[in-house]
Amino acid sequence: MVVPVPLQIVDTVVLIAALNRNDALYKRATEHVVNIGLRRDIFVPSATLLELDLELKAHGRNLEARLEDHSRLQRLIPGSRVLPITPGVLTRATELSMTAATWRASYFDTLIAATGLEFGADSAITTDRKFAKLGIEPVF
Amino acid sequence: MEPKAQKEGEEKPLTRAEAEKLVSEMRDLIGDAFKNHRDGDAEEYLFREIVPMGKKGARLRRGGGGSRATTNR
Repeated sequence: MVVPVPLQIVDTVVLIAALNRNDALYKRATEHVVNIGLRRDIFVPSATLLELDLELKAHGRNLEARLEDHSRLQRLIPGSRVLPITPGVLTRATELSMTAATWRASYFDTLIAATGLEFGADSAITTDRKFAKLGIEPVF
Repeated sequence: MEPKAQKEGEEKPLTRAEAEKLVSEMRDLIGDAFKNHRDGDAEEYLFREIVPMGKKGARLRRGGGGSRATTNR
């Protein structure tokens, strides 16, 4: 009998914490990022990667710098570990926006949570407790 | 159809040590860029810097008498 393994999704805050030497949680966050390529149950929503790119832009990383960043990230996060944004994800995100996502700055959180719900994740690796309101248990 | 990058070995798994080294390299490259990071920075950047550029572009196209394909009617 095959027992389904619960999926976990990775929130952007984990990637940022792993890459931020000033973050007190960077060691734990690094473990999670390393596990993306080593374990079969951890997935990265496309919205997480998009938010990370915008974070890099917002914090002054120019094109050449982001080329360096993403070429390394490509090796850390194989394509098979990335979950796409599909019409189903957008439907769920819209539903969440209508019901649960009422706080400021919730656009990417909503897309990330919706991706998890659409693909059957039961938890999100994040320090953001707001994910619980979106139906995904935050774990870190 | 598989994306080209995956066919050419993107999926070759890293060891834990290799992955930790890559994260460490990225941390060194990024330095203090995220020092003042706050939740919501990406969204603020998106709606402050990128969305307004799109709106400006749309106005320019309409004002410039673009083709039928690009004019927003």
